[in-house]
Amino acid sequence: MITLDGLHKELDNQKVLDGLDLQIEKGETMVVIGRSGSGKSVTLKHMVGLMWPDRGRVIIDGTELSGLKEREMRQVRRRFGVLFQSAALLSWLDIFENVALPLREHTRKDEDEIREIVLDRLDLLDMKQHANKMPSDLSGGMKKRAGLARAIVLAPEIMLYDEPSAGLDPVMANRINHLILDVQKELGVTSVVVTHDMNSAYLVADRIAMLYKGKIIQVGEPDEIRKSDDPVVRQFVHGKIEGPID
Amino acid sequence: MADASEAARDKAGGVFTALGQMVTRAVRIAGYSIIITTSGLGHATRAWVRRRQVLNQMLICGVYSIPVAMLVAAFTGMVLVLQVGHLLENWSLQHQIGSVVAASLCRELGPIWVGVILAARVGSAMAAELGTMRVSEEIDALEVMSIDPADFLVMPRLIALALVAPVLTVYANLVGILGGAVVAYYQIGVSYHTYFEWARRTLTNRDMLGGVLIKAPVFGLLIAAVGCAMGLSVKPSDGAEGVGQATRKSVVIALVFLLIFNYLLTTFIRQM
Repeated sequence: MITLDGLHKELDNQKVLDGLDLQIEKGETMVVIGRSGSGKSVTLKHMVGLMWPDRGRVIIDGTELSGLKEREMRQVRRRFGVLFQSAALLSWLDIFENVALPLREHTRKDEDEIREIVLDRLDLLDMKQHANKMPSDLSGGMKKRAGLARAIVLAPEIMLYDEPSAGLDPVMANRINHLILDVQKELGVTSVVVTHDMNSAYLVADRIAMLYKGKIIQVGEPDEIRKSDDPVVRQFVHGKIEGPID
Repeated sequence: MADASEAARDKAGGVFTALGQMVTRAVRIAGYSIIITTSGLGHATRAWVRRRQVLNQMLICGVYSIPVAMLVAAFTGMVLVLQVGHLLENWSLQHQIGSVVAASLCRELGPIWVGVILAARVGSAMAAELGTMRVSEEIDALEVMSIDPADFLVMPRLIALALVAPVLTVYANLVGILGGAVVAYYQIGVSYHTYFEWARRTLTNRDMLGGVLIKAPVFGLLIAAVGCAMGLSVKPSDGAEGVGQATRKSVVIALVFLLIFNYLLTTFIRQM
């Protein structure tokens, strides 16, 4: 279970998180929605210790992150897989080596085992035929799939997705959404997805949380959010120009 | 009158403020470079595990820098002979030009020129590469994968540059002395035998070892540390502009540190 308890964060003298509270249950897919720049990615980075709150606590299965030493933090991070917005593949390694990297760094598997696992993961994401290509030779959707393959190669318990469908055409965005569902089904992970794409949110979410002005203003199942009475949530999910969101 | 003195005071205050800010920035950068160096070298025992990266960096930093280092060294030796050789003719001492070229190159110019070339060619590339990795979230991705950037990215660069800088310096010294010999023969009329004899007589072990085994590795570490520090200090939100600034700063800062350390090391070597 992931608990975000009263997170406050200021960046460049601007309040980004202002007492954010959120609880994510084991095995569920929580989608955090909100406007661009509302602090969704910042929230995600707090969960994995890439950012630290000015105040508040991040608790992963009873372990508070702020009290951990770097070595302990590394152990916690190994439970996570993260799909970054830009896929964040290492540009000087080909796709096979990118996906193999966590296995080479953290396991003692021999080359044959590594090859088998990497190709299996790439196959799951329909990327096996691109294993020897460099990241610069791939389209945005392919990069995301390769990034996803790398994120799941160590069979993480928790998957974080930062704007998984951003910058993709609708077909590829839908494909990525279905891959998120496949990963959820295959690995039984706890997933947190941040997005402003409502189609994606409704498709993959067990629950949706709306982030506005540094706080979570509503959490609910997709249907509850769709039919929300909250004027901010209603304006956001229906994409209306008129409303309280400035 | 009062206005004029107030304006002068403001101006003086502004100068001191700017100076203070500059010193603060320099101390911050120096501090961060020291942290980067110590955390990178803290993983030096894993250099064998990361030998592929180390060798790759040695290739990029060292082998590809050889042509430009040779070119600069050769012309430095040649122009040194032209300038000083003709000056020595006034006292009929031109036959000793070999000692001037050998001493200048081995003690100062060889390591410094290699440092300047590495700062411009390699340190800036390191800052740009790591800065871009920061912007494109690749460093975040490494951290999430529990891979320490100090181990994976910084250490191979530090080790590679500390190893290739002495080799490049040896090459630069040799090529510079050879370039000088050619000009001394054709334009000053000093025979090769006389030139190299005076070079041999002048050079001591301290000259050879001080430049190659003390200055060059320190300069290599310094340039890699500044390049890595500037690259890693880019924030993801800085974008391309931040990467550009980091690249530019890395060259300027490395050159300033290079000159300061050169003076300190020369003092140290002379007392050896």
